[in-house]
Amino acid sequence: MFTPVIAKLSLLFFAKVGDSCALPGSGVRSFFGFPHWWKYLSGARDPLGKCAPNFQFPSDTWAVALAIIDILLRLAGIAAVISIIIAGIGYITAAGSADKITASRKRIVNSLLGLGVVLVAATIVSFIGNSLK
Amino acid sequence: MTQKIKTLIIFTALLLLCTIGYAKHFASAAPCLNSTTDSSCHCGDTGCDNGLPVKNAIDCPSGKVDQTDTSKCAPLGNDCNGLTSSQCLKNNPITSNLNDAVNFLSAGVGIVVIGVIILGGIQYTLAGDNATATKAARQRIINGLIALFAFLFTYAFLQWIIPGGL
Repeated sequence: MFTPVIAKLSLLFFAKVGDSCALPGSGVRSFFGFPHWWKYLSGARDPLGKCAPNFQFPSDTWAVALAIIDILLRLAGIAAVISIIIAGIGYITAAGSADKITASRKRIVNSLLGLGVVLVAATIVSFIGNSLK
Repeated sequence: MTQKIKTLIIFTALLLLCTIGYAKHFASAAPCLNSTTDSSCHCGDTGCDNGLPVKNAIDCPSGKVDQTDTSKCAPLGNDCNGLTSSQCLKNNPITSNLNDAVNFLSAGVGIVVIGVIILGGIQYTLAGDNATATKAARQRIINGLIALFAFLFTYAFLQWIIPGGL
């Protein structure tokens, strides 16, 4: 029962500040499956013995930006799913109205187009970025 | 408004280009001063310590004799205290900070462009059957692509204009 407390206390007293440590992985304390903003940063012990992201100002900026891109990719997928569900409900409740059917179909096409743009952009831009290095 | 921002961006890019070109030109045109301190210098090159008589400070257009090679005048227009001009440029805070800034920004171009295009994609997805929203999303994607191609062309242009490449 006291083992986790003792482990934490020992961390508090014996782990040096600035020691490198492993940050929690992508599945831990997830919010709708979004990746964490510290995904590409390394961890270091803070004065309380916790593992905190070790952010160095100029060099790590784009690492955080890359993690935000990952979050946006996840957001795009969720937005597409929700939009298609809304369009499906619109289709069901159209009840023969031609206008509503066209609007729902347009919504589905647009959400698929948006998803396609996101996927193609992620592939092409990362390819160009890698070949420039 | 948009026109002003465009003009500002183009002007800044041109200014950056000119400064880099100027700095690189100075670095590549550095004279070979002393064969004992400069390993890239061979005797017989212009300006090497090839037994020329010591210059008189009055004869020099800059009014100073080079401290590492007394047979040469100090270069005109910069006070480098006998350093070669490439070393002098590296010590110059403006040049070194500018290089850092250029490296930092060019590392982020791809990331920013991909972020803009993904935002455009999300906008497209959420547009529904609204034609104006679709148009705005498409415009955002096109702007991101324009930025990417502008950077690619600038990069290629710099490779072409700077001796030794960026």
